[in-house]
Amino acid sequence: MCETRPMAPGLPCSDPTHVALFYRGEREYVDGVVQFAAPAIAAHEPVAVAVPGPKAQLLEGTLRELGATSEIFDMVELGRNPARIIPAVETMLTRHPGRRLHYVGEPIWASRSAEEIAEATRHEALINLAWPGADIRVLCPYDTRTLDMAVLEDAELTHPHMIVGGVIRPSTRYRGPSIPPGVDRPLPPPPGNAAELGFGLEELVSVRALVAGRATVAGLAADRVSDLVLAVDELATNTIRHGAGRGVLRVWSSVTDVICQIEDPGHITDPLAGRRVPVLDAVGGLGLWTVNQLCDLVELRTRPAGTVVRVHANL
Amino acid sequence: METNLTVDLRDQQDATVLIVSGELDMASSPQLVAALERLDPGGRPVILDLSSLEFIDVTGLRVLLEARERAREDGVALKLVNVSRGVRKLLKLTRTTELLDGLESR
Repeated sequence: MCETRPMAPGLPCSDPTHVALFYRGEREYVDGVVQFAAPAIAAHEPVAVAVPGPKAQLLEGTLRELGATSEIFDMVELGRNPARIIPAVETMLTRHPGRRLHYVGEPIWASRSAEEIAEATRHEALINLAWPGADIRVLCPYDTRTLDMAVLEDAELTHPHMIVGGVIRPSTRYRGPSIPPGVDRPLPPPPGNAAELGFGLEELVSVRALVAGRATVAGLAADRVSDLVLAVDELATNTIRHGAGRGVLRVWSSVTDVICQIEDPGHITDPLAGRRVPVLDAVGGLGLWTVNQLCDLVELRTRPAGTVVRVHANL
Repeated sequence: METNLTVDLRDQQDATVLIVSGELDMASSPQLVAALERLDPGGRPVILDLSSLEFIDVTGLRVLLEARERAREDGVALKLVNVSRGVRKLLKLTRTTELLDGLESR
């Protein structure tokens, strides 16, 4: 595993840095996290935990009793858009310079939509590329009682190591930091009643007007309409700048979301685009970063032949 | 190209004021760039009044940041005034708030 991804170059190759914890029930869950946190507690190193709400409370109490220095986050909020998690952890790392960070992240739970789980699985794969050189260990709990088999199989593809039944082992299915094919398939086509607009630089104003109109009619609150308009404007600007100048916008809504899609002939070659904390004087990358911060879910499919970005605002 | 941006110059005795109104994006930002290049502040501070700026994106933000950089190189004081909630939100999101420190008043 180390030859593909030395997350912390000083570590011996056997030191697992990105581990899936398959757990059945609360006891295996708490035991797994406590075992993971033990070296951090012994060395007085920071622990960060981002798991869904009720579990966050459970772990917070346990870790406090053990004397861990920990920060606890509700993953339902922090990871609503899974593309925000990697930069959030980057921010945690910068708060603890020169120290090893022990991070527990549970971005996938059974009540998430299939689209969210696909993007959270992409996030899991990208962890293997994120924070090069950083001194960090990552534990990702998976609830085997409630998650689909396909989700657990993807976890074996995205994690170099697994803990199953309390025992750690290398994942025999891990093949390096690639996106599992099951979560990178072309998106289903937009519904036939989606509004459609071909655009270039001349139509940037119309792009925003179409999104604002449709989102307002669908019942999205005014400040969230502004967020969605800005997000789609950034995507359209990227298309005009990098994607051969023209693209197609489609807008529709479901029972739960207003959805906007931008399609263009460009190819985004950086898998971590939009997932790095902006640095002062950054030359590029702020557009996708902004989109990830503003939208509840961002589905990205990019190939040499073209790119589709589908963004969601929850109603 | 038709855009939703207007840039009005108000020469005051003690400052040069640019009133930037409407929507600042990739299509309209060349208008602001051109207006900034035409300025001849003659040692007076330059004030960008953003009270009627209804929309700004990352491309527009870059124009503001570059204007600030150029002003610093030229030794000109540049201030943003009446920065709207939308602009503030974008600055915060892009972590560029500190780039505008000392730029903003009121």
